Amino acid sequence: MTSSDADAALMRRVGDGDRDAFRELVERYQRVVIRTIYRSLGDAWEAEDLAQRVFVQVYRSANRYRPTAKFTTWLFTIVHNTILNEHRRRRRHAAESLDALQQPDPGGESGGWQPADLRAPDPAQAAALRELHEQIGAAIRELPPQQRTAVILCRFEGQSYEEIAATLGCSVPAVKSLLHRARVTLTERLKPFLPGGV
Amino acid sequence: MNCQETQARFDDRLDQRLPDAERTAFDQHVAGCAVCRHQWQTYAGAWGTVHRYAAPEPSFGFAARALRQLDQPVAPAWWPVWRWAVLALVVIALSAGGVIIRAHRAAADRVAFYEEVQQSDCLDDYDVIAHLDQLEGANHL
Repeated sequence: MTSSDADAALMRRVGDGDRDAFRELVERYQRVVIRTIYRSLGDAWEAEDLAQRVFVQVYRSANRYRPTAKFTTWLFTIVHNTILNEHRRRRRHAAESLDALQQPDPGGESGGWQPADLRAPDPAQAAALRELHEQIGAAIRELPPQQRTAVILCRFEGQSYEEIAATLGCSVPAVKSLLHRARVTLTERLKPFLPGGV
Repeated sequence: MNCQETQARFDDRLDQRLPDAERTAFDQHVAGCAVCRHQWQTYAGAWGTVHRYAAPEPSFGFAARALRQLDQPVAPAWWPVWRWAVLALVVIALSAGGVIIRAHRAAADRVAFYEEVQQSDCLDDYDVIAHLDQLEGANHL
């Protein structure tokens, strides 16, 4: 049985209200969902909170899932829409966010989380890595939402243009264009952090 | 392959979508052209750097918390957007209802008062009854 068949079988059980199947599905995809949301929003706590909502949405929509579509495509579509909704919500509360930005943030910009290699014993090295991590995160977050999701799915999840197109609901040439524009922006933004960069 | 053709294939080369012959031509051009080599190294280097953006693992008990979320009541999808409008409408409706009920009660009290006065034995003077409104107003003052 392929992974896709196994997902479809699990989803059938989830559609019948089988909570064990739901738990198995969550355990199988929690990492990828949390990672994707985190890379898009840059906040670890919020990524977990939104990931919970994604899985609840999966459970409640399980009856509407048809195995004609790959499960991961369907899942990433929900993830992408959840992220878009969060952006809309943030735009609506832009004034509040600006106020919040002026307050000290006890959790730091990553929502209280730092990658293990940022806790290097050499403080200078750790600081440089932290700076790089923050710059990459900021560069990704500054991309328009469609470009950002395309970058995350392509670079981190290794998805093909066709899979990304299915998730974003656009054509393959549109995905190529999204990725190209995103790469040009990221190159400009990250050039100073490359070896010998200016 | 010239510089323009090479640079137009940066994305396909990064995503390994070039056919073998084109990939060889691309690599040969980049090896021999300092300008394209610099641009390619910057472009590919930035894309490689992006991959260093690590992300957190799920916290302990994430799946169990997701299961618990299933038992939470669901707000309708339109609720976050329209909740303030709905709350405002409810407040307006309650206020309007309150005003209407109060006015209705006042009118009913007034009718009852007139009836009571008209039936009273001790107030035969019709003028007094006719000017009850004014008297009532004076009492309020």
